Amino acid sequence: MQGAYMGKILRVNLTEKKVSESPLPEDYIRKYLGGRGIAARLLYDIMTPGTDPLSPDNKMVWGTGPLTGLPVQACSSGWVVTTKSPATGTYFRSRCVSNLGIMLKRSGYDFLIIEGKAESPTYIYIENGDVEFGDASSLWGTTTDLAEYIIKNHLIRNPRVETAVIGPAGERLVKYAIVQCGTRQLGRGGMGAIMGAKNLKAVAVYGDKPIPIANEDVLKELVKEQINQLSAAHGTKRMQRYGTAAIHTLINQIGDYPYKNFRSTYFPDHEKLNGEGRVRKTIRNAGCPNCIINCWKFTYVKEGPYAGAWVDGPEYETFCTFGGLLDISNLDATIAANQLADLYGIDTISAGITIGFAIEAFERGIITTKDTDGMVLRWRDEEVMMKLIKKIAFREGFGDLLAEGVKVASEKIGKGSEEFAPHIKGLELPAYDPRPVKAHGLGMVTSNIGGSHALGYGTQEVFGLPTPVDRYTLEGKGKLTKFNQDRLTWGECCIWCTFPTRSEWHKPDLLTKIVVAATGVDFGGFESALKIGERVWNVEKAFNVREGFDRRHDTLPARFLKEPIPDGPSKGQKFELEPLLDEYYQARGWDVATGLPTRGKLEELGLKDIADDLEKMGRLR
Amino acid sequence: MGKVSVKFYQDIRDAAGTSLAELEIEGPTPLPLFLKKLVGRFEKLKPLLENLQTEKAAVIVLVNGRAPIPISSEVLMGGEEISILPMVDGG
Repeated sequence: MQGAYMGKILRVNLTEKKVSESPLPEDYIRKYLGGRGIAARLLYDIMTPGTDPLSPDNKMVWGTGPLTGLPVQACSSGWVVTTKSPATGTYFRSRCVSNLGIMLKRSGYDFLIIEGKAESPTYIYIENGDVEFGDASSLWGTTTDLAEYIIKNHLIRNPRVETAVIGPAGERLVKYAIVQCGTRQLGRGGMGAIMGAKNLKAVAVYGDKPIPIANEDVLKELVKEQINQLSAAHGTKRMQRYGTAAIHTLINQIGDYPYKNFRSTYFPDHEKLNGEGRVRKTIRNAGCPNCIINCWKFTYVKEGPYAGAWVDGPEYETFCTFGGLLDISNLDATIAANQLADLYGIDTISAGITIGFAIEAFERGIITTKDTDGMVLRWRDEEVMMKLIKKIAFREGFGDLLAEGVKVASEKIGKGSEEFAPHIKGLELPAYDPRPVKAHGLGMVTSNIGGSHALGYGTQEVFGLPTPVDRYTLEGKGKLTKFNQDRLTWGECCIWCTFPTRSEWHKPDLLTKIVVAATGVDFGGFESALKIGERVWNVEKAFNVREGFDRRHDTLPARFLKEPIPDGPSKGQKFELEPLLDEYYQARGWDVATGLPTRGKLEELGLKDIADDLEKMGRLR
Repeated sequence: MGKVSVKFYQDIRDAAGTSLAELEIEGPTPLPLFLKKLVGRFEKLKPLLENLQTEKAAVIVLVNGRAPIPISSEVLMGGEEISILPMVDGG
């Protein structure tokens, strides 16, 4: 018996207000497994190269994995969206861990494709296979929390509905607008702007259909072993206590911190702003259903100027981007800024990085108060951070420029500011400096979605897990990066939580057995899993190649290539781009000179049709 | 003769009962030997410092911000700063 899949794709056309269903192709399950894999392939199939990401022709593929909604640890609420990003112009995948994925599956669908543009503000409601288009005119302009509340309690009148809503930033097409899903987000890459461009305020889903499991007894036994492995892992215990902020001190101590817009990699005041501080502010530990890790931390500010602020977080990235990156060491301010970003619907990483860039440009005299609506931009200024978050979200004055992200903002400002605008392919860098972590940095440079740490995290260099690797050496980093990317890609097909999977708190061979028990499909062991990951990576790469991307775009701003880190534990480090790229392309089996895929590699992966596509465009080597 | 400073973080600090220690070394000292000396002074660190750089490791040991690989390859000369941090993931 095949389990874990619902077997259907739902397609919603907002322009025509039409809904259709199609079966989930059996061969796609075998080749791409599910989640990010099938969503990437579907997007490749249905998108026309050159499509404007903010046009009605852009598509969003919302995808669940076979493990979404199952009684398995560290996976059950995971889901993804693939689309073309307005921030990068590349393929994009955004990942979320809200219960919307579970509801989508229990409503009868593995995947949801959204296309077109509604005539007026609209929300979509999916309930057990029925789809309604609702009028969201009265919700247009509202913050994410209010929109969610009204949709659940007044329009649909079912508080168990799961929602994905945009705020004012998404409506205004801020290039890094997010989609708020309960207290979690579809972050990065402007997912909220795409919904805004489609006049789509929200997606709401409710379902109560059972999800089949192929071998339930076997699965139960395997999950017992999974719990044993996770319970024994030291990382699980630390994450239960500190959440993702557990790594804040480590990243600083290895000299990888994005202090003051990456001018330095060591934050002197880091002890005022770390995971222990968050423990003191945490009023509730939570997490995905069926997961013992419980990494979500609800924090609340009880007194002082930010009293009343609360957030599900801040996560590590936000600790930095609304904290040390701006030389801010007041956790209360970071919590309040995080809450504002969630309410307005902007990405905390991209917003913080963009603000940091603006402060440096101001400090250097490249921009002045004439450009900033009279504001003096300074480090360590919480008020500046709060004001700019609002200006960006509402595209007010100077915020309108920053709402375009650091790539576009630096190109418009000019005067050499491009050299210190931290992004890769238009996506703002995460809170790691690529210079002192060669594989981790290479993972960001070659990521199919631009400057993200999440697609190929160099755990071996940063945490020493599953086996330690020296972070400064160059040799072997191309191969290591390919392994990390393929592993995480497979994980997001299933859809495993990234943290315990990449550090192997639960072992890969156990995870592959769980997938087989749940689905009844013999996907093979970990070697086969890596092959699926590699195949999906190549589909994503082909999407980008079709859009004109190649080796020239796998790069970093001058700061990271030319300026040695001036101080701290990683003093003197630069990012050695060319030799790292050479080895990476070799490991991938791509053309080293251009970074383009080869027919041999694509055919080896069963992607002959994609090789033919690229050849017709003159984009195959 | 030289001094080596050791910084303890998060639950390692709780186990050590302090956030900072300074130990004297008598000339060049292999890191494993130094860590044994550290355990002699802070007994509760013993279980935390076992199985370093294996999948069972409870902590990460940095010398001047860098993890020596393998641990036995590092020889302390005096003046180093050692950081002992919990094994984590996240971000």
